[in-house]
Amino acid sequence: METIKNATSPQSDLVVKNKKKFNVEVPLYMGPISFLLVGFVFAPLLIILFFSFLKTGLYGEIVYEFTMGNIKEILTGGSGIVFLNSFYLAVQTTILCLLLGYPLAYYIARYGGKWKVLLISMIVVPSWVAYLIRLYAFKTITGTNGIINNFLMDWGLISEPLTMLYTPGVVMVGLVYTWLPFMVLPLHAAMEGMEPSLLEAATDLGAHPVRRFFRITLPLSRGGAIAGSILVFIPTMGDWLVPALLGGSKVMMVGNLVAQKFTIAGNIPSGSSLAIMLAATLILILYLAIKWGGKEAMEKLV
Amino acid sequence: MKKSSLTKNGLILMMAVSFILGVLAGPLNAASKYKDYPVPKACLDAVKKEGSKLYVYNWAEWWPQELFDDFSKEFGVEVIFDYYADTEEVVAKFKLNPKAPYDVVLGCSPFNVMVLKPMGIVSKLNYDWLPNVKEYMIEGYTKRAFDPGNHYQIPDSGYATLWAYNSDKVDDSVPGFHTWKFLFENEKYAGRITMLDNMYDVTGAALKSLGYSWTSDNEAELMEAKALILKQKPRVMAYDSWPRRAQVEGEAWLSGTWDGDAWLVHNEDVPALKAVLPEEGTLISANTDFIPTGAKHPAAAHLFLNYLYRPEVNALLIETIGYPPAHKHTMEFMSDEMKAWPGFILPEGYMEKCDSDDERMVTGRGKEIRLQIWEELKR
Repeated sequence: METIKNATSPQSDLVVKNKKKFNVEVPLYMGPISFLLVGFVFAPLLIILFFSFLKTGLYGEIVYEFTMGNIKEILTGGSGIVFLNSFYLAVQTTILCLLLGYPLAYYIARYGGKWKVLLISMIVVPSWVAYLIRLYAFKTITGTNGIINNFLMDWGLISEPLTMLYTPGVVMVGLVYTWLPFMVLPLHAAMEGMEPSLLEAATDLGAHPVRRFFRITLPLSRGGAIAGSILVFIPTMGDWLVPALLGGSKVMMVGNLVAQKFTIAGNIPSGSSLAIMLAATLILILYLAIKWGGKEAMEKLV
Repeated sequence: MKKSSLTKNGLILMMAVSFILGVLAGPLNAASKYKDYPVPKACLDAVKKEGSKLYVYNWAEWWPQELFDDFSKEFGVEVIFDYYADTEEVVAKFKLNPKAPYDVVLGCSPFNVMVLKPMGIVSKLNYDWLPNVKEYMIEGYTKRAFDPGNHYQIPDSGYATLWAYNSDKVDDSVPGFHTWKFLFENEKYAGRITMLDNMYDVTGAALKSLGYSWTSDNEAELMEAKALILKQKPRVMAYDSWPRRAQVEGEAWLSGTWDGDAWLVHNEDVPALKAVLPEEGTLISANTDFIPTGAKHPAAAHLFLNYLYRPEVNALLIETIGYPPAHKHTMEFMSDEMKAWPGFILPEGYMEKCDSDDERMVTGRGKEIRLQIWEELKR
């Protein structure tokens, strides 16, 4: 009996040691980020969730009583059209980003060669400048007295300045411009990882370029496309600055509506429930996209 | 020879410098002919006891920093700032934390105070510690229905909602030009109009143009106003509360705005910008300051408010922010051009046509209908 115990002891010691080491390392690596996530993402969300079931008084003060009224009001009231508006704009932006971003990423990945780094940084560097400043620059470019109009007038191409700013068109262009890098990067990553030999093999076996694209390139870059679409869709759905600054604040997005409920309406519970509904919608869309896009999309996303 | 020219140059330089300083300090020096009434010693003692600190909650980038620096230097009170971008933000903050530890909140509107007061957030002022305010407040400001005698807030300047136009591009000789009606109904300047991005001001102006009260909570009247606003929307370029860029670039020719903002743009960027004080009347209100109940240094807050009503300090404030003063004598030191600007000195009998702050606009049905109109407008 004793010999057996002795014989096994070194091994069990080792296991204990391993376990101990494991215990120290995990909190050390995961601790700070978990703390950040819990403290600054989950806790505020929980607070918002809590507020969304509360009542308001005559002056908009929060009354600490449970109610489902806020959620009911959103489902039955006129907020639906605002949701649809944002959804439509987000879908439109995503499709346009995909149409513009796909060939861009494709050519950079396949034919970029030594210019690859430069080309990618040309896409990424502009987004280092704050979003708001870029939008103001956009106003200066598209204004009645803006750079485009001045240029066209100087060259005598037009006699009257074009109205670009504060039109739906410029809102769309602004959104695509802002979020395009988020589409190009995952797509580029997906195509970068593609084996060129696969395409060569396809050609050797007699595949037409169109067929080659649909059988090899497209399926292999599907994950990147889905990841890019998610990355573009989610921020666009919650965006409110572009419609406010470039669209002249004439149309309300879900984000504006949430802000309006919190400030002008002064109804914090109602704003909270709207924010929760928005988050829930986005989570649902994300879930569906990942389910449909599968593992590759998740990998490209992370 | 050389030496004398040096002295001569020096003299000229000195004269030039003193001339410039004189011009710059002109209004401020003149202000000192009116007496400053200091706070009683009890207040100063209380300030020391509290720890000589003042937590200020103010608009970002509006008031002159110099005003606060001078205050801290003179009284040895450390001023700690926090800023907001919209007065609605102030209301939301106090709703979430009724005891937010600010000592004085600056630049709010009376409507904010009306909402905050019933929640027990605004504390009563001690006029023994505000001798300057007692002496120098324009009488009209002490008689407003929502807070007679100004026991809960002190206006630092007034404001009127009006509209401004670019006189280079717009013909102002048309009959009926100086009205809200022209802003809402003219078709000539379609696509060149900006309106305030604020539901109270847009609905109020529409109500006024239809001949109703700015603060009306009558559903039928508000529905009429809604029809007018919706009809105007296709002609509106943007809803923007600070349309300075559009005015400077010559994009916006007619803009709904406030008297002081229009004055600043006229004074600094676009001399051709002129303002219209609409014939139908408008809303006359005030930028107002109050002490919240969560204040940890109320004595320092009183000291500051009294300092604010010192004639030369008030002149500095009004010169910078460009809004009509609530101080009796400040207007005397402003430029003639500013005195002539619509809204600064109101024409005889105009006040009777205007509406003042009324709770019915920001509570209950009045607010609910306005919110619905606003949501429908922005669809």
